Amino acid sequence: MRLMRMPNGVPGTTGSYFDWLQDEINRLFDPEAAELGPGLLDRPAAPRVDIVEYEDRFELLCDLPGVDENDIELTIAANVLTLKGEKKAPVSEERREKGCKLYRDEIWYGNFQRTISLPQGVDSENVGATSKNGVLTVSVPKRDEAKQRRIEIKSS
Amino acid sequence: MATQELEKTATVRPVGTIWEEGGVIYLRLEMPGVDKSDLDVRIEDDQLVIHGKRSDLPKDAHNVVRERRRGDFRQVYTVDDTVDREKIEANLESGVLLVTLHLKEAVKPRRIEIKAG
Repeated sequence: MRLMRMPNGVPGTTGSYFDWLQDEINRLFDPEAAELGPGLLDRPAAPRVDIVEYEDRFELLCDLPGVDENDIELTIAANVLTLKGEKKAPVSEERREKGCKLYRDEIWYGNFQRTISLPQGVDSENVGATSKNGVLTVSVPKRDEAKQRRIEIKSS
Repeated sequence: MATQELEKTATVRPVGTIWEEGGVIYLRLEMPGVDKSDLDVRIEDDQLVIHGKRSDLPKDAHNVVRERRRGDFRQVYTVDDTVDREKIEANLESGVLLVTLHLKEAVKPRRIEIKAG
């Protein structure tokens, strides 16, 4: 715990303290700031994903621009999907030494790993993955019993 | 893209790497989910305008996890006179755009011959 200067507010009121508290809490849940710190299972270099639920399947979309398909390893074990791989530096160390002038480098590279727990009722035998325009799409079908069904109502 | 339309479009700045190698400036921008047909690279006066539309973003109604940024990729660079505007190339491959900007011959360092008098 570090000491923090409290904001100056209107004397005799606590209004500004609530504003300050609000900002602190907002910052705590800010996804931009959260990326800086490692999560329980995620490494700092965890690629961003979206997971979308469809009637018959879940789809996981992951941004991996410039990553070769052969450098991506996708495994599934007991409903836990692991995405592992390596993102190579666009300008290698070797080239940097050979008189290549680097002006700006904003990307992260190195090894990455992401572990995602899938919900119950998925068919882990039939997982499919495709890659297009630097986006990896993993399709995880639902098992028949997990699919939504419409129940016919019979009139008696 | 028309200004009015642009005002209504959410854009994010693509992350990039810029380097110079042998008199050529390379601009590498990460634009995942952008198809070649949705990418627009143009020179407008002194500006290099790069705009890539994302078409892979799912509709938010069923999203369980939503971490990827929403919006088109857009970045504007100012190009000065040292760059040869006739020789700008752009190549998009697996979500990575590589723009090649050639420096004009006049700005490249050259050795001046010294003549013995």
